[in-house]
Amino acid sequence: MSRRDPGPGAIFAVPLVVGGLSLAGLVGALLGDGVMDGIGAALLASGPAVAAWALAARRRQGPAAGPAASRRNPPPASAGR
Amino acid sequence: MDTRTLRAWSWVHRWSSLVSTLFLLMLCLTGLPLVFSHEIDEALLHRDWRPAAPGRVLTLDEVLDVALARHPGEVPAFMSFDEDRPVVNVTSVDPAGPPGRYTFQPIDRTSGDPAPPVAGHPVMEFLLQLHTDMFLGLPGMLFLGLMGLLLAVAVVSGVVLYAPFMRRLPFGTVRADRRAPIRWLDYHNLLGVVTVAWVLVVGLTGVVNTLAVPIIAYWKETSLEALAAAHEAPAAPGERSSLEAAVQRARAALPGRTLQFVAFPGSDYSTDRHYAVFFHGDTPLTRHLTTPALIDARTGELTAVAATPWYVKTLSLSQPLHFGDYGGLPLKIVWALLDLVTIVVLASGLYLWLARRRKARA
Repeated sequence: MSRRDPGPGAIFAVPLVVGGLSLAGLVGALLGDGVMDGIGAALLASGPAVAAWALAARRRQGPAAGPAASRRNPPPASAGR
Repeated sequence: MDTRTLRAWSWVHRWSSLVSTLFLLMLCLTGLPLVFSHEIDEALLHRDWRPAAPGRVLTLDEVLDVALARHPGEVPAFMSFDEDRPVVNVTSVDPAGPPGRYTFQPIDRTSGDPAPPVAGHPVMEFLLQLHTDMFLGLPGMLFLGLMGLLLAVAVVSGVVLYAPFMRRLPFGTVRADRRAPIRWLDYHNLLGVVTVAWVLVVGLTGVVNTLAVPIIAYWKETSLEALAAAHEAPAAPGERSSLEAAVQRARAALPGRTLQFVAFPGSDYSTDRHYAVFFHGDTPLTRHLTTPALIDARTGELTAVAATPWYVKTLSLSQPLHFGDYGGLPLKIVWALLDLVTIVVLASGLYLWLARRRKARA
């Protein structure tokens, strides 16, 4: 019945990419001037950008809200599904 | 992860955060304007200024004499140089006065007249002091360093706890239609996990910066003194040699670099016998790394070029990486944005703890 748990790879895939881009941005802006500064700032902005995307696209009830929370307080929307 | 391990990590995350949160909130709030200190100082202190006698250049000895004549009894500690105007900044100290109280004088190098300051507005100085040591000196700095270490522990334990919380949720899910604690847990997890790299870099470089005093003192007492002792040339004590000549001598020893500041004998960055003339490189990276040439203050001879050890280099690079002032205005704006996000993460963490406590009591 229950879906298979995703491994840490799936859970941390996006955070790892964001972390890598952020570090590249931090170091890149330190190693270069001009264009490198711009690229560094853009890469470092990947964290806030991904958060903004998530808040726009995933700010809703998740498809599986977690069994403990569902048991205690089933949201009305899920009753009709 | 079994329940016991999960509980242990929860305990680590809760207490490392709780102990440090209020201090970290203060650091984030004071750090926000400090990111833009150059721009704010310029807006608050800007005055149209022109050198009094363009074309004329006083020697550094003449500038020093003028500065010390205005504060009799003080001894020079540092001399630094503005990059975009002919201004020399002389920092002096009263040897009989309270430690750490310096006089800072920007001086027009064409005339010796006082020049208007371009940095160090009292409001920004207040914020910087609060951010650096909370007006408590070295103990305050070290205490904030400890808070920085707790931040790193909180971030690492937060990442460990992120996995079990997100096992059933796609990345970025915010259950906005659920009770406030669940909704805010999702905000906390999302905003926390996308800022991990930046928070760790800013936090850990902040910790290194809080160790600046012991790092520089250790460097001075070991490498610098050993170098000076090994090259000690016998010289008759007498008048202090020309500062201008010392800087020219140092410049010849380190060609192609930019003069940054001079540390006078007895100051934090030099020995008791030397002018330490500091230069920085001209590439974006080496601009943050300084190398001093030690000039014997009695003879004016070059004692040694003191390549800085790894721990001083680490301290030098920790400053830009902490303050975010190395990549122009776009980087500063992103820095400020990440700082604001961190404030939300800290405040939501505190809220989640309070909500849980209230629920447990009910």
